[in-house]
Amino acid sequence: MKDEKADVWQGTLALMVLKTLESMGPLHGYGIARRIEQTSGDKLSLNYGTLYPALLKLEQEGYVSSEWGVSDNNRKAKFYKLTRAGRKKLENEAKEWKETTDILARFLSPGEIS
Amino acid sequence: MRRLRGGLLRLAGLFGKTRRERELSDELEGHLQMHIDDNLRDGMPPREARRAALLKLGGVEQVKEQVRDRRGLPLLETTWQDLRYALRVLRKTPVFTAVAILSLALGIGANTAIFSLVNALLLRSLPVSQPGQLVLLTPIDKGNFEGNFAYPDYQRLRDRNQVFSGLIASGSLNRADVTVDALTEQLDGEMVSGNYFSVLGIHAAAGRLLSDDDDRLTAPAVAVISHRFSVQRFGAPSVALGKTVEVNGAPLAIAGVAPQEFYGESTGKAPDFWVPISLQMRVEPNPGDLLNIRYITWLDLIGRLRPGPTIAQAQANVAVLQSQIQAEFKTGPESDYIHHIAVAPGSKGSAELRQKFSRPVLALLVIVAVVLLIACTNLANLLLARAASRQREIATRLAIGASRSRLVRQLLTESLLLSIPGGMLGLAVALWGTGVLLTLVNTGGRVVALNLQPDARILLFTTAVSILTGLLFGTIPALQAVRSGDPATRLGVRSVAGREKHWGWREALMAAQVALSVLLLATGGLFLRTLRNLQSLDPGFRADNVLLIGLDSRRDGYEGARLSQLAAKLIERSAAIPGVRSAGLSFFGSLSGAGGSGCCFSTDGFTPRNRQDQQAALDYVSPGYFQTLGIPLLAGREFSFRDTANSPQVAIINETMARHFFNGRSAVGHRLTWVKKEYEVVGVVKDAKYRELREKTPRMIYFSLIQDPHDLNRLELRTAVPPLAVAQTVRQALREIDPRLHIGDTSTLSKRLDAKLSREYLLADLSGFFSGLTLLLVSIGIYGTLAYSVARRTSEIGIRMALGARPSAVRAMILRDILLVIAAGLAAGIAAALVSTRLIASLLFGVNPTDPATIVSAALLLSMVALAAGYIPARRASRVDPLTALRVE
Repeated sequence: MKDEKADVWQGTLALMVLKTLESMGPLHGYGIARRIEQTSGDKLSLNYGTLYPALLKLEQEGYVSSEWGVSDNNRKAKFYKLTRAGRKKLENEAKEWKETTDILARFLSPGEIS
Repeated sequence: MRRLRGGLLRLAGLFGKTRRERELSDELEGHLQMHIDDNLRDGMPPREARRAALLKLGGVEQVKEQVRDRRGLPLLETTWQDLRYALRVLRKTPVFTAVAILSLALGIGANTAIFSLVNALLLRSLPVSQPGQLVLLTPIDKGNFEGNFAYPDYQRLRDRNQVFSGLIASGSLNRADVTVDALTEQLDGEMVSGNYFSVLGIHAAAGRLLSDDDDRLTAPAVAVISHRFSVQRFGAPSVALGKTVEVNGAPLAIAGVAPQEFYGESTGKAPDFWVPISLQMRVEPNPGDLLNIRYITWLDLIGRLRPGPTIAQAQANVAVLQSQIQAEFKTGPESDYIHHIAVAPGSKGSAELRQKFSRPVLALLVIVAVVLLIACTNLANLLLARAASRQREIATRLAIGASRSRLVRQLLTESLLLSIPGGMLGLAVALWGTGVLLTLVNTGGRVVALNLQPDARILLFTTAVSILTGLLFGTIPALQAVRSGDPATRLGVRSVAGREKHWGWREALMAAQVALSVLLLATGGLFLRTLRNLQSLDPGFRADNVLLIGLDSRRDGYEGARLSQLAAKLIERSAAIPGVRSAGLSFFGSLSGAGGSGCCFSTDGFTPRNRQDQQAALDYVSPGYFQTLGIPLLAGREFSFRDTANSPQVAIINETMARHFFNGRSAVGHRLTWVKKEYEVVGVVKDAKYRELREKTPRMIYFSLIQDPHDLNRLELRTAVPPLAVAQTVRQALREIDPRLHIGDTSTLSKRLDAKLSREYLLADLSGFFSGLTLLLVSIGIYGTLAYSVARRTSEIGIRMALGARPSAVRAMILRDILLVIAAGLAAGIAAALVSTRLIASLLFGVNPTDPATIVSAALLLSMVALAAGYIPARRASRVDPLTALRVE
């Protein structure tokens, strides 16, 4: 039960990471985490630690690549970048996600089902 | 694809660990610093800023662990950890490890070796194309004996059947003189039908194999030779082509070489050449023109079923043909030698050997499986003992959060680390063991060619057995260890008494071990008694000090009167050799592997009930034969040189024959009629075994080799010295009589006797060996378990002794436990033996499968060994010094 939830969370987290990297360009882990929280309007409380296994998985699957760089305030940090495969993956996932939410939305909106 | 890539990267993640770890630390450190910077900017106090950042991250170490899990392959890594840990543990107890691996190597090796035999005899298919379509045709006579076919029958079956796409015939040509470039050696070969290779689907390694054209009498004289022979004599298959090879003096051109893996159609044989049946008169003229007579049967038939017909349909079709053939030959002397023809699956070829050895080999497989089971219970018990002593370790590990399944996995890794090297070593044991097995099977000279090379099936068997063994002896101890390692109870104060309950797994395993051992010992005992019974069986002759020399007077061109003269000369000369007491000659001879019988004998005052009643086994022997073999004369006289072709025809019969035909009257002086000739019975001899030791002695009649000249096939000499010591002198003397004389194998009658017992030797030797192994395993097991339990109860014993218990009482206390276990095991073992030894009844001789004496002695022997093994630790217990003992805690 617990695992199942985590899986769903992992899936959406990956999508958020990809989207963030698409709109922001190369970014380090901390930056991604902050950005996700901001985008969600601080409605989402993210445990930053969960981000790193997710990033590693994305990197292993070739959707993101990483290299070391220096952050705005001069800290050494690993920057993640979207790859071509990652861009495509984001496109597909976003489309799927949209379809799913559309369907659900139709179900949940009152009066529509006759 | 992406998944595969991820998997590969994770596999790669197992390496380059240090760099990755450093990078991960750096990355997380950077993350924290940036977060703290932000928090400080938001106005948090430094301590608070750091705390908040850490909280939000969820703990540096926890994140690292999550990333690590994602990075490598956790299962592989923990297995690697388990392996390293297990190795460390095993290294700490080298004696235990060595004993465990060795006993497993013996157990698994024995299983693999016997399985190789089973594989070669029962499982391997013939190396031919689609062996599943082959069927064996076997003629069964009225007496329910299996026989062979005559050539005319084969021709008709081949041409008229509607069920086979091909029907092949083969007749053996054993110990033929094969000459290449004036060098002669004796080799086994076969005469085969022209379609032999094409029906089996064999393609030549060089040249051509035989074809239907070779069945014609006018076909060129050719031979196909084996790959082995071609390499040995010519260097390579292609070199042999077109060369001439003489088979029994007939020059044949080598037309082709069979492929290396082809060994003919019969398991256990390995012919070196194949000649067309049409050449029979040239390569084996002795028996006459076998292609046109029906009363000599010599062929094995194998058919390849057409797609469609079943074996039952083939059987029916063959039955119809057989009655037609029978009708066609109604007038012949042997018109009804076939009662019916059995058709059986033939994918493994014809196998005399399989019939003789399949039951004993399966019995042995069960025996070795039981030995392995005993070795397993042994190890399980030792591991249980160890698990108990590791309770604290396990309890500690459980307490700090190891999962039970993880611990079981680790303990099983340890047992597999014992069983897999055990299996590998076992394979080596098996390689050596199969050699020994083959010599045992070959006791008595006949060479059995069995392919015992390990193949994929054998490797699979060994691997499976090794893993299964590891799991078998590892599971119970592992589960037990984890269950008893409950942290709550185990980390507290240890109790003084080591014994918790009366019957646990350990006792049950020990009892099972005892029970299995009783079963094994009883079986071994039964086989041993069978061998002893057969050995002490009176064969009717005295087997010691008889030298046997093979002859072949027919091939040497002796016939008629010249043959009688040769016989007389041979006997006279060899009997005069110092060390030789007497000499005789025979056409077949006792236990020669051959024998004859005839029908229909009659005499005045004897009314036969049926044909069977008039049959008798027969042989042609010379004067001196009975004296030489030590067959006592009961009445009348032996043959003499005065019984010649011109004097009245004489015969000597055995007791059984005398009883049968003369029913209490004295046989000597009476007449027997056979094939229109009258014979006067001049002597009655004691019953003697003729073809087999286990046979019921047949009615037997002997004719004089001098009076009715028959080929001299064996010279028998009774010696005053060890028989083989005079062999050279005798051979020399024979050469002096005629330098061209073919002299065959030299052997002794006791060797022939042993050869007849090869199966019994195999069973008795091996089951004896395994019984010894079992006793060793059981004593190790009992000693180990008891020694351990004494060690654990040292403090208890110390207290008892401090309170005044006498050493004898302590000994009794320790032994009492084991006695109950042994008693239970014995009871179960005896019950099991009574039920299961029935399965080997057909392999026994002169002893009942439930023979009480054997089973009781097995039980007694085992209890003695068990008690002896148990006494040592018990004595050590009684010598415990109370003060030292109490300081142990």
